[in-house]
Amino acid sequence: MIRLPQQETKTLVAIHGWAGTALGLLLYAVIVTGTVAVFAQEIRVWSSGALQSESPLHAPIDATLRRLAGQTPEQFRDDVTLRVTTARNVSAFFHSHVKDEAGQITEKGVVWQVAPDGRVISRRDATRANVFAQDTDGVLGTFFVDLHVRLHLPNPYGLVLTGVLGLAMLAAAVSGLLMHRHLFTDLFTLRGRVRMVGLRDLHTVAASWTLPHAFVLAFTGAFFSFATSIGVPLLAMVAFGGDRAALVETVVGAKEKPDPRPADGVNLDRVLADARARSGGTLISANVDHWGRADAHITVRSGPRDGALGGVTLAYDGATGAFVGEKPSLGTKPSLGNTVFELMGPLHFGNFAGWWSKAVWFALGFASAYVTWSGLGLWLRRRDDRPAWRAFGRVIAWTGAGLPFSMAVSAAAFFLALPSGATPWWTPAGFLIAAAIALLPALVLPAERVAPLLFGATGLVLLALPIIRIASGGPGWMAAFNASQHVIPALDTFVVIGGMICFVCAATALRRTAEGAGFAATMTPAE
Amino acid sequence: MSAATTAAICTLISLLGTIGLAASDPKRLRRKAVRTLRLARIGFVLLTLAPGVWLAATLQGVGFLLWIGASAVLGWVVAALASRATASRRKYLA
Amino acid sequence: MSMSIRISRWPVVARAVLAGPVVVVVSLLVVGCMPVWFPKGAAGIDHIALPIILLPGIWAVLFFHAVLDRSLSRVAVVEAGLASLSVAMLIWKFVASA
Repeated sequence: MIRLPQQETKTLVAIHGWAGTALGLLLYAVIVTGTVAVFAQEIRVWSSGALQSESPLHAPIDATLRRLAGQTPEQFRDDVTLRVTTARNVSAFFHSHVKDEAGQITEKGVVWQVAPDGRVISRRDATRANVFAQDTDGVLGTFFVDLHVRLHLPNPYGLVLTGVLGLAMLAAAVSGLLMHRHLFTDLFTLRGRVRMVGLRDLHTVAASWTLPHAFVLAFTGAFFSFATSIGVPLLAMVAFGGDRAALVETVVGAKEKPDPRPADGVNLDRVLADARARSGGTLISANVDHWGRADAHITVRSGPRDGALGGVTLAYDGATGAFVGEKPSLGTKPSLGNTVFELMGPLHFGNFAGWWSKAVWFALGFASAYVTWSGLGLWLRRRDDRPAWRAFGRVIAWTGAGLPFSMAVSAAAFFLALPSGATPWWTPAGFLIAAAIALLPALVLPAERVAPLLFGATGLVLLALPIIRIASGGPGWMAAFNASQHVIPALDTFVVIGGMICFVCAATALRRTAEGAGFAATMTPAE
Repeated sequence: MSAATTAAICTLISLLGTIGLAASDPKRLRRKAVRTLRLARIGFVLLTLAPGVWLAATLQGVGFLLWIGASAVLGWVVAALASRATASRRKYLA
Repeated sequence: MSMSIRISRWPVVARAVLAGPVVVVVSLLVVGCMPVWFPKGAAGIDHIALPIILLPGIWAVLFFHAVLDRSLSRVAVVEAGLASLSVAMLIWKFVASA
């Protein structure tokens, strides 16, 4: 496709290979967890057994909120944030802005969890840092997302690391594109698995077809990682000389003249109904600033309507209920920067068209994981005669096949811990225990049998998951269909299909290694 | 018609073009492309890309993203199945 | 023998340093100084949002230039030039606003 001189091509091959080898395993982990995290919200619903499918913000909430406000200490009634929990209840966080021990402004108050019928489920004191801590129903989905976003390392180190991995993926995608002289004519060229050239085809064909997606995911992923860890602090310092108030005023909007006179406030149900009609999407959250005052201000956030890439944020006058306007994510009016910023989320998460876009993004993520895995395999096969690289091959097999196995076991551990409420501890513990168990075959068995065996074990765990879920008290399919909750049976089905695929692929691979008497017997020198 | 339905129809049209390209791929068939084959392949390329161009030109962002993603995945699947079909036929003829 | 190996490896090491940590620092400097000159846009936020969004792209351009340009000295000159220009703009910004 692009004819580069031989020297430059050699340099690109070296960069592509060494970047892939040095960071490939971590990149593979980020890609696999990201692929699963595409369905994080569905996983939360499936794992929690939530039967409610409609957003609770679509049901009347105003009377309940006023009742709860009366039961909340007055010093915490400045603002109210309403969010939807995993179990489809409403989390109402009444709070005020205070300084913490470090002198930073934070939110402190009382969080109520309320069922759609107005019944109070729980009440506790909370701050911004721990307001979602009690949502133990969503632990499994959150665990997978955290693993993807920061590899469970503390901020900002985890974010910087995943940002670096995003740049490595970008470098690999661009170098792969520049290296490949016959990108389009080789799109259907697969010459079998026996020769090295055939193994290279498997890698390049998968990579060629998914190149645009790889580029977009690498770019947007690196952006998300670096934006909060490095970008915003750096640019805020330069643009506003460290003046946080000026930064907030520019990005969020200037504070209006305060009017602390008490006011009854508009009926929130009317505002939410209007927001639902205007947005055409599912309501996700609502914020009431200056609750019970004449200068009250309401913002409502919705998911995307059909045909739109992202949701909208609508602003209302809290005293009269008058619609003020649509608020951009950044700034107080539409701009190029806001438009591009609002594109980054849908492009990365694939959440702009419900199941359809998530299914496509999942398939593309699987392909990217395959590209990384096959690339590492290619690198090793060319160096199969060196003991150090053969040992690294075991690490690759342990990570590559052990990661899905550990994720499946963490899901099982979540379900088993659900009745006791100890899911925040057992979910990561299950993951680590499975990783340690996966180390045994990696150390003991012949290298070519490790990955198939672990994939087979993953298949068995996946096949058992729906049974474990129901045995732990989760709803059955009849209850789910009666409540029009289709996520639960759908994910049960996908998990079973995934398990069967893992199992069949593992069995085929084990049979092939048994017939081939080891890979070396079938390999010809690198071409 | 919803964005997803539009994208699905466009993807199916592109899939036909992709299958045509796979079926007529000179490298896979191990023969040089004669003029008629080259013309046919140009037609298949246009059939593959036209739905996406239409989606982009009509500013259907959601449909375009769904189309490009789904077409990429299906293209990969077609490539894999085409190579299996070729390998099976060669084994049968050998 | 070891002296000749050290001498012959010097260009590779130099290029690795230029394409690695130097490109990272220069990318951060280039992006860091963009709020000084980039248009603020209709909402007054383009000069903050767009540089952050473009950071991966700026890094990629500088990285591939550093690895593909045959002239090491040209790579060094370009990176030193961008870094100097960025630092100068930042100094001007903070001195002018003082």
